[in-house]
Amino acid sequence: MAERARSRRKGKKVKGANGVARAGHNSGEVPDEVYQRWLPKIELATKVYDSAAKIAKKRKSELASVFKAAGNDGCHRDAIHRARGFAKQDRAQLAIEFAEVGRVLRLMESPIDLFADVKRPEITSPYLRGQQAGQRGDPATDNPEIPGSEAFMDWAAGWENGQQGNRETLKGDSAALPLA
Amino acid sequence: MRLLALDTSTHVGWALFAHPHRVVDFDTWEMPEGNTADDMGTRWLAFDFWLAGMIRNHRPLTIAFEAPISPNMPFAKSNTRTMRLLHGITVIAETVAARHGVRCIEVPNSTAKLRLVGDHRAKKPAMIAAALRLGHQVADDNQADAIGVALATYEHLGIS
Repeated sequence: MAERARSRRKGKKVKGANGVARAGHNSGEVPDEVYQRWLPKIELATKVYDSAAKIAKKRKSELASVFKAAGNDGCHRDAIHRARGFAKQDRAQLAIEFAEVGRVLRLMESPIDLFADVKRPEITSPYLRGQQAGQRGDPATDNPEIPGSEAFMDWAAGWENGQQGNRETLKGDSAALPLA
Repeated sequence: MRLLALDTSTHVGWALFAHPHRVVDFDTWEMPEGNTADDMGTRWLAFDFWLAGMIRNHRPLTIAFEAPISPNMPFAKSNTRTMRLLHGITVIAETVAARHGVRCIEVPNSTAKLRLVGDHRAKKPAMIAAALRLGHQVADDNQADAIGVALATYEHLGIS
């Protein structure tokens, strides 16, 4: 079987000092002292949780009252909820989602065109921007990066790759043409 | 270190990296249909030819592929036929890699997601968005997954 990649996580749990599993950890019957060690901790954590849950319930009720008051004052409550939800999300992810919603609406021939102008995020990699410029046939002198920088070299390499792709496409097309 | 990363499915997303910060190319290879629904041999054979061609043309030192989901995982949604197809693909990937003397590494799906998005349960749109943020204009989630597999592999190998 192939070697398996592992993610590098901080704070990895280790076994006992000698690398051997501690008593009670999958090593047969769990002794009473293990239960006695954990039960008070569970009891305490439960009390803390119950207390916090009571406070959270009260705060939730207060929040609902504020939303209700805002609604009574003319605010669109659903819009506030949605906007707050969007604000927590990633911009690029939202842009993709909205662009796809606009696409589906267009295919459905819906008159709703609210998402029609949403664009996918722009390319930030100089290599890929250069590649697109090469594919478009832009001159190599259009390199917008600072001469001598790594980004400049990347853009130039991308441009060359784009041009190479064009050449190969043209070669394929001409090969398909019938001989005179 | 030149690396070819694969997102194994019937739409094989692939990404060729020269080093962790330089993608040479990425695309999706569509696996052809078999003669019948149960004809997996034709599909595996096509994958064998395609992968061997990729190794000959691009000369990667390492191949990495997304580990297929095990049928006993509680969240596995694929049916038995799909499972069989995916496990077959990974067998072929390892076989082709061994034939060409290329190191082969499998990357759990969650590890690739964690590396690219920072969330081991990231959905497809999040993977695409993360790839786009890195500047890779991916066309679909298969390509984004392949990029995640590549980055996780470099991390596993300690190459940054």
